[in-house]
Amino acid sequence: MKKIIIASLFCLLSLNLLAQYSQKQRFEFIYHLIKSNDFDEALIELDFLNGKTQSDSLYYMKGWALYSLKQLSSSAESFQNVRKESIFYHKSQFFAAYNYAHTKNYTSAKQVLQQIELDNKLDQLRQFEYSGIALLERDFDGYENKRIKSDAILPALQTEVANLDKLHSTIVNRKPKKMWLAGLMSAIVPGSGKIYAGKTGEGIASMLMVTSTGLVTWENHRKLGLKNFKTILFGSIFTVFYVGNIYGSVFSVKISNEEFNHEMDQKILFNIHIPLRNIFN
Amino acid sequence: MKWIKKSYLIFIFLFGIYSTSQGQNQTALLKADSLFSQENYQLAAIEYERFLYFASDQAQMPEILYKKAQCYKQLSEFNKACKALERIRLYDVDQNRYIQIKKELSLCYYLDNQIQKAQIQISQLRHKLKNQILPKETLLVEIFILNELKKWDEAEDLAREYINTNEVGNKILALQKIDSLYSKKNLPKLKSIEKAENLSRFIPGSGQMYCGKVLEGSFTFLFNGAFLALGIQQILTKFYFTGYAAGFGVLHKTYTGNMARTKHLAIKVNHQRHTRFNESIINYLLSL
Repeated sequence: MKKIIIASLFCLLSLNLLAQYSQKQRFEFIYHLIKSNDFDEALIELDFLNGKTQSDSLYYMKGWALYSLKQLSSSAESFQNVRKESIFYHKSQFFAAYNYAHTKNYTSAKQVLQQIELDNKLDQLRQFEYSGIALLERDFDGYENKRIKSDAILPALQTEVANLDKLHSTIVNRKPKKMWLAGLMSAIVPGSGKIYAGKTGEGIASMLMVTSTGLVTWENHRKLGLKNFKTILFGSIFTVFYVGNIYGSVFSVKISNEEFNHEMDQKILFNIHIPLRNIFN
Repeated sequence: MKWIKKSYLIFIFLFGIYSTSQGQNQTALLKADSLFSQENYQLAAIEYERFLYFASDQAQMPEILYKKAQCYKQLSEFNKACKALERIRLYDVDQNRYIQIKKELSLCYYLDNQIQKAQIQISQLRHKLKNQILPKETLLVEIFILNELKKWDEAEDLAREYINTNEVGNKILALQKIDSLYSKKNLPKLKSIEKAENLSRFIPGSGQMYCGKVLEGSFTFLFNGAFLALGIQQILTKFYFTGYAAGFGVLHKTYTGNMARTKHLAIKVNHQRHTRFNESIINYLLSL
């Protein structure tokens, strides 16, 4: 009897020779691929498991691989599928919110943050992320409500909280440049609108160009009269430069404002990203 | 007796588990080889990596990493191929495998446009081989690298060595062809960027003509000349602002633009001639 049991045990094990890798082994391998920065390969492996399991690890790893490949919207969607029973739950949800914030989908980012179930320690992180998103939306009242005012700030958040406060002051204290004012300034003194917009070099160049064409037109008008071909030619060139410079000044203000907002957004995103990496990695 | 039976049972059980994992891994390797033969290189690379990850014995590591690198080479992902080859511990491998790995590394680095790293691999291989001749493929890569670096004399010597040491149909004819390819007449006549700029500095348009763009150079010369003449003529007729702004002001713009264009043109022409020459050498040596 014993011999039969031993023989059947051996046969059973031998039959497994051609067995597939277990899901646990597959996940271990995918984790290894992610650690080795082989994200494309990891995604292929994850796609193989897709539909075969509803494991949280699958969604977490897929989210992480997509996040590393800068496919932030898809990454956020995958991260959101991680359930609260998983050890990756908090990390996934916070990164999902960050990914949405990075793609300017602030409503979804706030929804994700609102739905996270967490303890007191991470509640401060959520509040911090909320304040960052409010600042991204330029919702200053929202920022005032959400910003961490307590003295007992988590060590991982202290620097970034101070940085967000500084960014908030910079944004609030900056008077947005007015497009009409730049246009008016350039109409009175050519190039001054561009200098007002912060583009000093461009402003001086425009000033020289418009002034020199203006002087040429004036000289020809004075010596040859209004109806002379040269006066009309240089007058037309001057008009094109003059009007173009006004339009350019208005546009410079728009670009200047966009550049400032973009720079601030990048700094805010950087500051709300750092604590996530410090706390969860 | 009871203890002996127990020991047997434990041994059988552990051996069964071990053989299962080994068999599982061997299956992965078979699958990888099969995918490779089906030209499904992406999946084959993953299976090779899986084998490496689960393998308890590292004896097959150099071979598997080499195969993985081949997969990426076939996918033209040369950087990944280099990374796979770099993972091979070279002190574990015999001389033949060492040559094979260095040969592939030099080729992949060359194809990945990392010329300096490719050169280092070839130098290391030369050092290892001492007085022996480099493998055929590595010799070719070295010739291509020397051509890229414009070291024509050294490249010609190696091309001759390549023909003499390898089986080539008609060696005399091949050597003659190499002579003609590397003859002074056939070498790419590269333009001096500094000279082109200086020419355009003194006579606008002459730099373009030096680079072979006669029409463009003539037009530039006339264009600059016209504005210079306009400036002078306007000042002589006491139109000072017009002469200064419309004549010399525009001339300043066209003159500086002409200088920048000359530099760009010289770089472009040199690149085209160099590439054409290198391609002719590559095509000929690969056809042998």
